[in-house]
Amino acid sequence: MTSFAQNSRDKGALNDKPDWGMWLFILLDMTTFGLFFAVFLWEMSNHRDSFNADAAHLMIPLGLINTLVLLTSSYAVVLAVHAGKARDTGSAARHLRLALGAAGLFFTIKMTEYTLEVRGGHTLTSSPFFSFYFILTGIHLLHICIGTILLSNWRNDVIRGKKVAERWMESVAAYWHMVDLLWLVIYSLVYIGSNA
Amino acid sequence: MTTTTNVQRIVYYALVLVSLFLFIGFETGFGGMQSKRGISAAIAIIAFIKARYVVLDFMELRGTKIMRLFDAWLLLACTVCVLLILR
Repeated sequence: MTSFAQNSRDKGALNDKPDWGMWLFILLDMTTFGLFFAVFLWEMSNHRDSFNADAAHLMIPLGLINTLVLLTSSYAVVLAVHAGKARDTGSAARHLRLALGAAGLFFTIKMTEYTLEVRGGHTLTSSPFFSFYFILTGIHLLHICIGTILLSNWRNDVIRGKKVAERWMESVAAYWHMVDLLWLVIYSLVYIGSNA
Repeated sequence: MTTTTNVQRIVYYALVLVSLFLFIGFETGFGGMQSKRGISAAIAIIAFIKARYVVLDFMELRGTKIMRLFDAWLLLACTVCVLLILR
């Protein structure tokens, strides 16, 4: 853990003002994805038939399962924040374990999906649609990995009995909810919308 | 806190149900609707409405100054996406 993060965790609860830096970081990250969505939809409107044909090869049920898994993980983090604020370490650790388990499941399903797509001949360079698919979902998966590290650190602190500042909990939770939010849009635009 | 977590639980169930209904709609061809662009636009709008509830109730920004910033972002992103879909 970096000294900056440790410092944030120690000082966080002392300040009730919104953490503008953190929220702007989240908005900036969301904007990066927003630009990807815009370019994706622009290209889709130019090549609607080929995008529709390629999208038909996506495994929609796996996308749905991952949506439900990530929503559950996000809700578990909501409960972990409430437990953390109430100093209920047992409940916080339990909910964080559930959130981390769901993150692991999401990662496993995504890797399974990638494997099946590649075996089916769909790769990063096979078509414009699959280039967008692999880049968008790949960057999102990277965010899942970063979020998992943050949640693991939080859980380790809870298990070791360290005092975790409210602002640190809220920052990690906000990041995780952003990852969930982005997936809801990716699933709707790439999996369902391109295929409708 | 109890009221808050109850609201968040309801939002969680609602998000799960909407996702399931969307999937069922997709599997059944959205009731035979012909306009693919119209369907895609509706799906995008539903996605951003879901995203808004994640912001309001999971990120717990309801009633805060930051909520306006996120609302503006979501509205702008949703509008751009819908316009590009309908283009």
